[in-house]
Amino acid sequence: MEPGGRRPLSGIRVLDFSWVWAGPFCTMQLAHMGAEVIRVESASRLCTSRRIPPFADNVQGINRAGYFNQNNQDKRSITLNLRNPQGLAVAHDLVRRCDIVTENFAAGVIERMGLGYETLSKLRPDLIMLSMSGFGRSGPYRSLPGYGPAVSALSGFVSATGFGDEAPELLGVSYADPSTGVLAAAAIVAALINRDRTGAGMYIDQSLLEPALAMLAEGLLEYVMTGREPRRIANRDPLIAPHNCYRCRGDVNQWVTIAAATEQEWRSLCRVIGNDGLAGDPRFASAAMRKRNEDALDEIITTWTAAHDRWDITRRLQDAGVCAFPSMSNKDLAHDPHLRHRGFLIENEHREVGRRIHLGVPYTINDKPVEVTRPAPLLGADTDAVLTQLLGLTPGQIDRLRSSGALE
Amino acid sequence: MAASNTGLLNGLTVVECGEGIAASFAARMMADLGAQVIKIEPLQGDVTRSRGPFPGDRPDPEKSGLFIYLNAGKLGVKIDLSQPEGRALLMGLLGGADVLIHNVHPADREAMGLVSERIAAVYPRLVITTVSPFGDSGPYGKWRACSMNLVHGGGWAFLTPLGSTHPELPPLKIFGQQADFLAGCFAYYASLAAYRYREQTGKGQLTDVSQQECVASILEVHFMRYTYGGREISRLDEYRTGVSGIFDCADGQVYILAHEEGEWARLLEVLEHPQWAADESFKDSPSRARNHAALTPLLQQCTRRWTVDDFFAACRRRNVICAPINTMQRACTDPHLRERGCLVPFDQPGVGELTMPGPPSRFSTGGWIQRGPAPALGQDTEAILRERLGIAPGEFDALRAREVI
Repeated sequence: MEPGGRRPLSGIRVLDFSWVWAGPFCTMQLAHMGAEVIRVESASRLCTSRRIPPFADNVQGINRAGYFNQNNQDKRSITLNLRNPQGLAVAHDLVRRCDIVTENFAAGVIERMGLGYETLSKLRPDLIMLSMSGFGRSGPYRSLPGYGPAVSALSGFVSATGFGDEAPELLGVSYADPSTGVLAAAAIVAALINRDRTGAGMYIDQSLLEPALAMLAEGLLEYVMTGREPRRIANRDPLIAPHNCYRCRGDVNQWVTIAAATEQEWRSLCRVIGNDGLAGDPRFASAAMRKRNEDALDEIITTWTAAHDRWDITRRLQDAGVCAFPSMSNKDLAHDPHLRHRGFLIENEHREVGRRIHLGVPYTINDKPVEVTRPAPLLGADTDAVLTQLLGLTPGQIDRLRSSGALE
Repeated sequence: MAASNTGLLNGLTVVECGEGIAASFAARMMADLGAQVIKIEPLQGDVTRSRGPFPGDRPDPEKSGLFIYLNAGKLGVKIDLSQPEGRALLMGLLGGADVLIHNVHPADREAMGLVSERIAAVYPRLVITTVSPFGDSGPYGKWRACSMNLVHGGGWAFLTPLGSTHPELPPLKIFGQQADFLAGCFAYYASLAAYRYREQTGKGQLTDVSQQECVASILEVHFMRYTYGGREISRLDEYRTGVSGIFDCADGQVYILAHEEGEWARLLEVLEHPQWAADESFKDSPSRARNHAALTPLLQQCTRRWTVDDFFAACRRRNVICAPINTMQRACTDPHLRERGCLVPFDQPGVGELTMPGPPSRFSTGGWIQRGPAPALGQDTEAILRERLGIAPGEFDALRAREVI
């Protein structure tokens, strides 16, 4: 990839009717690879992610929401009232000039709006359209609202997560959304590769459920192969010990994770802890013994970690070749020198929220950070430009559309 | 979904090295779309062969459920990349490949002949995708980490379980090795995008995926709660915009979410309008979030009168956001998963009939293929080296004697 030049998806245009998280996370991946992503929004039907906190400096505003501004970097925004016939006509005209359409409305809604694949593929025969939903477009739950946390529960993920015999725990974030977003982006690129070869577009039925199952395979197969449910073992591992999250010196939020899988790592850990008896302790003489006696082992390790700073522990263990890292907060990440060095922390100037830290692209290309070329758009910021550039509308035509309510 | 005979990625050849989940998962998804994947394992086999789960809990490197799932439909080659001869075989195989994908740690790449720039100098058209714990540069670039370290290191576990009232319990890693699976998703996406770019420009590309950054990318609103809201958030904090959580039923548990007023109204219909619902302290979504400690037991009294199946069915009828907290057993027998075919039958020699997750995405043109079983260790070594590198049958004994293959 040449800096500032051609990117893997340069020249590909996406009309994005999706909202909330999974869909916008998908199209942000496409935008990071160089696709031109146009989010179609509406002031009367604001994206949830513009409406919920946190807001910049805790001042509410549709362009001030962190959730939206994080997940819509590198995109453009237009406002269209799709219930207005002229607004719908503009959407149809835009589809003719786009390679990809994405949406994640409840089942049947996009068709009722006049934007179903049947309709759109007549306007643009080689269109690639991806519909995202909780449970997919077939099966008895196809019409259910598709919220990630419900999908995580139904897939089995939640039942396998938690502390020992305590109740299952929710996953902290709605994991099904972003994992689906990335897999959906990959599906779109696979469809583009196919279009490059055959000239044909296609429709992609993307559920949140199936990515969740794909990433839960180890647990599902435990049941399939042994008839047993996976145990809720929190930070532990079914085979490896030590493998846990340990309390460190300081307040209740100071924790370090440590894992020692090999004999060499185990001996190095003992050396760093400085407990000479540990390496020779018969309770911990083999990997199997350490696993069997891990309660006792974790207690010994905690005695040591509780007296030390989490970063001191991390550095000393890493120097000795042992896997260790602190449990990081949002604040830790925002100030992390490594993430800063790698160009993962993005501070583009945003017209309403100024410069503040966003998360960038989690990979480098040809040893360089992938540039995030623009901050998330203000609501409808690109309406006039898109209508002019893509549809060739004159200022007068745009004014007339606006006064008819089509651009609300 | 019916398996299709023509994959979207037919003709694509992928060479995969390294061990564990991330690269294997990415390459498995390419294999499902028709790519030919040559998996290179070390002589003792991929580490996932020893992880299980195993039928009847009897460890057997040819029967690991995780290995079978991650490597279905691949060709299996074993080569010792720590030997110069082994590295030469790898370079030979890359000559016929479109994509190289691996998760060998940056500090180990030199010894295994996997320094991306050197390979790219020989094969400028090759797409090279690597996965590293912290990326291949920067102050932590040489550090080691397993998936647990990174689920914590990317900030996810610190938030989990959100709303915890147990400061003595640590931040929680969710089930499995998700920093590996998640990085696999990004590696899969980046590989396809880079391949398309190569097809258009003739130029290969090096993509290095940082697992820590993948995890940090999925923190929902919580990263911005610091950079926008000025607050450091831990598992001991809450984030409520209405009712959401796990509730007990007579025979299990369900998840319920009701943020918007309409969602709450429909939930009350299912619950047949209990008297307490008229209470001023539950009048709107912010009030219900604020007073959830009083509200939760009241809701729970209602849900306990239902079985999970009946409650879920009643919620479905009224479009209430709800789902059972399914066990694996319940998930595997769920009518939706069955009817849609989310889990597919799979036959692995020596193991027999299994059920495993099917396609993550469904294409109207078909294009998803469940190809054969996962390879036995080294099963295709000779065939691949003969076909692709023209190595004569007589040379294999010597290569084996020197423990190169």
